[in-house]
Amino acid sequence: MTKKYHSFYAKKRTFKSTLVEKAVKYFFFLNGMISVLFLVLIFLFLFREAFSAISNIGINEFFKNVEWYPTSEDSRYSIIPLILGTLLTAIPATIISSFLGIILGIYLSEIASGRTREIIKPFIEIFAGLPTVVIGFLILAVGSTFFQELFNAGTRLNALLAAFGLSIILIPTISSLTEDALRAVPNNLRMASYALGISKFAMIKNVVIPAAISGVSAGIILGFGRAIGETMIVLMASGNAAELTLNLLHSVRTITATIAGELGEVAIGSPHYYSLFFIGTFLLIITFIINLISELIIERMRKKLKKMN
Amino acid sequence: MVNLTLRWAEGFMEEHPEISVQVTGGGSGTGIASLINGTSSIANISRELKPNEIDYAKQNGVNPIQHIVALDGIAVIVNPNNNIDTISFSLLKDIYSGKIKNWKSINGNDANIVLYGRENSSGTYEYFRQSILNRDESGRQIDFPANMQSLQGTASLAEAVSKDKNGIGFGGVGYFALRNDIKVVSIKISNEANAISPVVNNAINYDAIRNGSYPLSRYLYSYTNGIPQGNEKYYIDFILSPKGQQIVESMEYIPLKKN
Repeated sequence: MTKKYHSFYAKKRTFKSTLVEKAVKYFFFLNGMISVLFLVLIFLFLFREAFSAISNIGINEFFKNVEWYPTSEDSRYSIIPLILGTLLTAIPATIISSFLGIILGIYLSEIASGRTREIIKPFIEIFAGLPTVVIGFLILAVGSTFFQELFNAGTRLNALLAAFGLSIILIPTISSLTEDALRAVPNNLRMASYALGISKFAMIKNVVIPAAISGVSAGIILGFGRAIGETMIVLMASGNAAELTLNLLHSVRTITATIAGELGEVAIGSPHYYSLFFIGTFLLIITFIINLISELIIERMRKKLKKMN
Repeated sequence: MVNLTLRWAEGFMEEHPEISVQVTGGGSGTGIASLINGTSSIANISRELKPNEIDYAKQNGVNPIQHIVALDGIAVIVNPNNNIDTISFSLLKDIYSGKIKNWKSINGNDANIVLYGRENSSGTYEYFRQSILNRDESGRQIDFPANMQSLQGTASLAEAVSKDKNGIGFGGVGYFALRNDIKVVSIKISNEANAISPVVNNAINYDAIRNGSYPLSRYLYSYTNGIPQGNEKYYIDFILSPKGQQIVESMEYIPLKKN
């Protein structure tokens, strides 16, 4: 074996081998560029259609009134009830799943033994990979009746039900990002606190979590971004009524569900069609900003922890 | 309508094995778009083309020709536990415009009415708004209230009403006829008129829908680019033939003529 490697390294660079090397390099470069190109094309297409919406309908129309009636004769294109619906599902979902996800992340990073972690982690990974349509279906078929009786809700399909469904997919995201953040805390901090004689829980509470807090919050923000972009669960569980409400037990309509529900049958080239691209672009920009913020926070934390080491 | 189209395609290919037919679903908009950009020869849709769609087609050199291919009855459904059996047109309008909010107002239980409907781009939504809500005194189109829930298909709407004792919904009668966990409501055009149900003993009331004594029905259409010729003509002829119309009946839609 070793001999073979020797001969490989000893081989002189020929013109042919440099050529191959160059070709491979450019092939990989091309692959990278293709994905960039596709992304740029998608952006261009979306922005072009969204711009048609602005020139056809006018940007004021999207924020002026509070009603979404794109197919009415007297059409109204307010994005406000849709934003409200998105927040009414995403915020409760983020709160529920932050609570459970952070506890789970702390357990996995600080408390669980190696063996327990080996058992639990694959389950969380499977959870993260569950198709959202399956979760939506379960929530619709089983969860809706259960929660209606539990909360005595007038409408069976409502924002809170969708939020429960969403939190199922957010918990794995938040727990694994919490775990990563806690593990990035250098071990000498833990050792130093033990040396001072404090208990494990005090150590977690006063040393580890404060050190990793920006990573944990980045996880929450990323989870929130995922919640506002999720489609299938809210489409199936929220009832899709574009009502202007703050009541969690009412039906709401999210931006994503509006696009998914209406784009299939919309008349191509109509103002309604362009308006769907506008709200899609709006959503894209919002999630882009949210992801950027969480990336920046994670980056900052990494630098800080590096200094500590 | 995609299931009906699939069965038509199967029946057609049995008669014409030399012609292959491919069917794609996705809604009326998808059908029109594919007719306009030339990826399909025939678009089957459950509503008439809108003026701006016809304009858009003509700009792209497509001349859509309409063929009426079947009838569809639109039924109103409630939960079986609801004591309401009959609703008049004007009450239905008050319910679906949000004027009446409690079942008590029409001699039902004291409970809020939960409205179920379809997506605002669906043909059923459009049809129901035109025929029931229509216009107010000043000629303005009346819209469904914002709290009406939109479901993604008539099957899921039936499912929702079957589980919601205060729910009311509407959709193609074929989806409801065989189900016992929902109740199809009889409709009265006016307070004096007879109440007619589109479903009698779990069977569709074909005659009442066809002769118009049941007031809520609409046509289903096939659109071709120009006057159909060759294979497209064979296909439209097949749909309108007794065999094609038999398939309409077997899929719980209403054939154009009595068989």
